[in-house]
Amino acid sequence: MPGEEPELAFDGGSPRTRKQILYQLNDRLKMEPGVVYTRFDPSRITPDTVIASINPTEFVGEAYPAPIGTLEVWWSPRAVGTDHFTIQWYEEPDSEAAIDAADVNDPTLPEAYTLSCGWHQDEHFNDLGEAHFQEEYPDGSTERYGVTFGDATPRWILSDCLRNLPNRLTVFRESLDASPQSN
Amino acid sequence: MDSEDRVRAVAEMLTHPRSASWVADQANVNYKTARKYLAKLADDKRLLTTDRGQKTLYYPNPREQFFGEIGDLVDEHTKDELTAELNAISSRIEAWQDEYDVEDADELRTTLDESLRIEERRERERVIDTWEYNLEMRTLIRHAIRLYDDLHQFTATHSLATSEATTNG
Repeated sequence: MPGEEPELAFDGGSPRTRKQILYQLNDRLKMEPGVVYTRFDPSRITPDTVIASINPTEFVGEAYPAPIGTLEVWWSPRAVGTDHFTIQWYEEPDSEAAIDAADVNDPTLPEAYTLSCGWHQDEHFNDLGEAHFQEEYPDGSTERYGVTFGDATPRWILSDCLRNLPNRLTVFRESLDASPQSN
Repeated sequence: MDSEDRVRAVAEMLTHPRSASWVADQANVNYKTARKYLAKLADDKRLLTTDRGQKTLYYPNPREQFFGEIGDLVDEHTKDELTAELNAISSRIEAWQDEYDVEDADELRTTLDESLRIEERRERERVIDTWEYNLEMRTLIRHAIRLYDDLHQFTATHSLATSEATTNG
């Protein structure tokens, strides 16, 4: 179907659409238990990312070893094919948060490693699927798992990821615990 | 959000022309409800339509997006905030020019080749995309700044409160 569209003078990647999507994703994030605050990056006028600072225990719904999490949602709407996006979780404070470094250390992880994982949808690793979930390990290696979201709005896709994230984090931590690098 | 809000929310996020049944599904409303509100948005010129076979497809009206964005920029931000954002956009562009040693996004595009690791490629693709987006926003912000004072003067002169005050002495 994308091949049939060129005759329309329609730019699905318009800046207004991108901003509308990010504003709606921001609204959705603010509804999620455990989200402490959200902000637009680099600015509210020309945002390309929404960032949420998260209390992981409240978000996951049970005791979680890391004291803080940050979710970064980058969205680039496309007129042809699927949107490109990243929904990235990492266990370091958002740069805007005034948190003492000492408060943030996660004793269960190898020193100098920040647990980092997330969903990517773009033109890479499409042999796995339209999108994939990526886990980043302390030794620098990555594991990727194919994911298909189907033909859904950005808000639906974000909701789906938020629903699946607690389980994804549990599985990732289990494989980290099992690996020789963790200590 | 009520049904109309949900249909409008989906309509605002459209990147492809879509049928009422797709919108109904995404907005979690029934087909007739989606059709009703989409038709209203088309009447208001927020959406345009095109026919594909038996189906009517809806998509955002680029003209309305252009003027709508400029209007929102003026409504939601002071002239100083808009000017500050123009400066911020210039700084972002300069930083990308320096970091990648290129003049513009097209030149950065030419550096995307097989020799780059995937993550490096991804990062450059993101910069290209963000750069082009910043250029489009710069155009809209400039229009907003130029219109700012004229628009405020016009609405101040022709607002209801002003004419009532004059009538009531």
